[in-house]
Amino acid sequence: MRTNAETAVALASHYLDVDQPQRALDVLDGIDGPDLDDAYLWALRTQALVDLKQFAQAAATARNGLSVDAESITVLDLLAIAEAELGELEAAETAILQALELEPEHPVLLCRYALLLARGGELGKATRVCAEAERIDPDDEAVIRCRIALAYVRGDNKAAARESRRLLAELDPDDPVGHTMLGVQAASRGSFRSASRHFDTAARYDLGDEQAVDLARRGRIHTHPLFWPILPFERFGPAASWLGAVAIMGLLAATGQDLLFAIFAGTYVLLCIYSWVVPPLARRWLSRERW
Amino acid sequence: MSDKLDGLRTAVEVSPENHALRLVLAEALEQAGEAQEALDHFEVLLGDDKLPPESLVAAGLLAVDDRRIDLARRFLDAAERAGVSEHLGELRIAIDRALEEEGSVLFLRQGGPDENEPWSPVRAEETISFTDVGGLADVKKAIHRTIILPFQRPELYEKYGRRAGGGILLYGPPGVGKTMLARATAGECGLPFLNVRIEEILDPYFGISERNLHEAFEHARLTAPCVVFLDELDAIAYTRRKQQGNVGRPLVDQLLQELDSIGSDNTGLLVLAATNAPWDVDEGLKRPGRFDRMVFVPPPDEPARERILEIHLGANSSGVDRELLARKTALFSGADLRALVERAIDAVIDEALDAGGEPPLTTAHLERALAGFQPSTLEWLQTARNYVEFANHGGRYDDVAAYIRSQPRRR
Repeated sequence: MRTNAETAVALASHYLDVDQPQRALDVLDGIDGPDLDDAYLWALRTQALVDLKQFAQAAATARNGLSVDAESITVLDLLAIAEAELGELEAAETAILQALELEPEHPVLLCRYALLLARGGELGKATRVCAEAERIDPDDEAVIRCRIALAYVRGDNKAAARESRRLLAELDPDDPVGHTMLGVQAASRGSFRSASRHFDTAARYDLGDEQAVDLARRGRIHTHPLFWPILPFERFGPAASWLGAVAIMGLLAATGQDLLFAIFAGTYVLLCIYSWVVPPLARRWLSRERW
Repeated sequence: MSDKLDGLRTAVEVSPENHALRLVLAEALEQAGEAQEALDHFEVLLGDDKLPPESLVAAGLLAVDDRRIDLARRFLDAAERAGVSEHLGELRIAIDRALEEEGSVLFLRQGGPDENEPWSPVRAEETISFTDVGGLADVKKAIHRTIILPFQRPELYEKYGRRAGGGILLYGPPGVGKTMLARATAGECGLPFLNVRIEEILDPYFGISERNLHEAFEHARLTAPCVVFLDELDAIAYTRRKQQGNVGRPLVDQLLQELDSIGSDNTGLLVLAATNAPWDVDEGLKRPGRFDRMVFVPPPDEPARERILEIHLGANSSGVDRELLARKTALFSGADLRALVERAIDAVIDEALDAGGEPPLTTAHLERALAGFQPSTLEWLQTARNYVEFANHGGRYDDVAAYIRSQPRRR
């Protein structure tokens, strides 16, 4: 016969699957007594708290779960996530190493460990751990995501974009991380239209994610016609643009093209003034908030 | 026919272990109206575990007709074990009814593989009317035109080839009374209101959730005309694109099947659903013929807020300027207003405990409670605004956009 706790656990697990952690937590709150001796229940509760970004409570809940079952890999993994988000990298590493002792060939745990190492600045070791995860299961989603993150941390936008394209092609064509990475790479090339398209797609995946929405809005602002005149500055960077303009002006002066020199220098000065004055005003005008 | 039956009977007598032959005889007897004898053979086949799954429900229904309820239950149990889903709900309800007629009380619907577990069927709940729902005049008008009128004036719609029924999705911030509106809609149509809740549908065992959903719809079809209400549609039919596990997918598929009435007849079935997150509802459900009509239920307007405050204040309402408070509580949902009143009452109780006596609840108490109280709808509207901006395909969220534009800017 199904107990209330079984029903609640089924419901909570479903709510977590459908990205409704608060409802999951509300359901789990109704469980008490001997049913609390189930480690899976604690794992669900911790997962809900992690999803709600209540990391301190999540860590405490995970510890309660470990007192019921010290070898629950799921709870150890969640504890590592919570501790890392709280900035407690050592505690996070301890938890993940404990989990890896139990399951040394678990690609998701290895990737989590690699990301922790990267956050702690140990990029070389992180890359090796990620490679180990890749050796175990090269097609695992966690492995691909880990490779993207490590490439991004290394500042290797091209590698991050390559892995992101793989993520989109092999796993989910709408994946927000993949599109954000491709957007970042496009923006770094000065291709704001392409960047904006990627940011839009990433934001549309979950428009409740204000960070993604903000990025998409900024992408849209940069593709507005008011920004077109300053695209060369954005594409080549202010220093390169300035050096290029000075070089052209020098060349025109040296070759005696006084009229062309005057037109070019005048246009350049006007563009400089435009780039100082218009963008901040345009940004404010275009991103005016209603709420 | 009689000769053929005699021949078959003789053959079965000669070769009692020939199950195929016995099945042919049982079916022939059933066709000939010899229910009792047919059931005897079906029972033998069931006992030998040789009755094919597709014959179990038919045999069960025949047993109900013949008032052999215990045998019908055995067929039902076998059908469940065999994973039969087609018309299973029909058989359960037929057995339920037969037992009710005999004065027995039982619950046949089950929540898991445990056969002894009771599972109460979806029952008709009490309805209310639009007068019980304060404000929301525009929403009521929209519901009247799109839902109630086709039921009240079916001839008008038939004339133009438009069928009554179909699905309507009510969406809006939490706590604004979507469920109440659905209940009132059923009341206005004069139809029974069947509330299908996710906690009654979901089951940890594989395939049981889908079966429960199917049975809820089967029950509704037998009750039709009626209103079937699916609350938290986003939880039942979360977009398959974003589902983390694969557990919920079959449930979405099952719901699509029920709405498309594959193998069933949905005539007279009005399906209403409510959700706080229409964007998380699977796209397949929003296609024509399913939940193709979406009605935005905004936070209560000023007159509605005044009425809600009056209800929550109850006997305390005499010394309170409800009009002023209604003006100051723009965007507050019904649930927010209740929380506000409770907060103010808590303050009055504190006062009574500190100073003694029984101080009355005043406007000042409510205004103090209002300080720093953010309406819970704000977060929803913020997200909704993002959907209007980035994902308003085909003007799906135009109502939300118009509502947001009509509100004063907040800082």
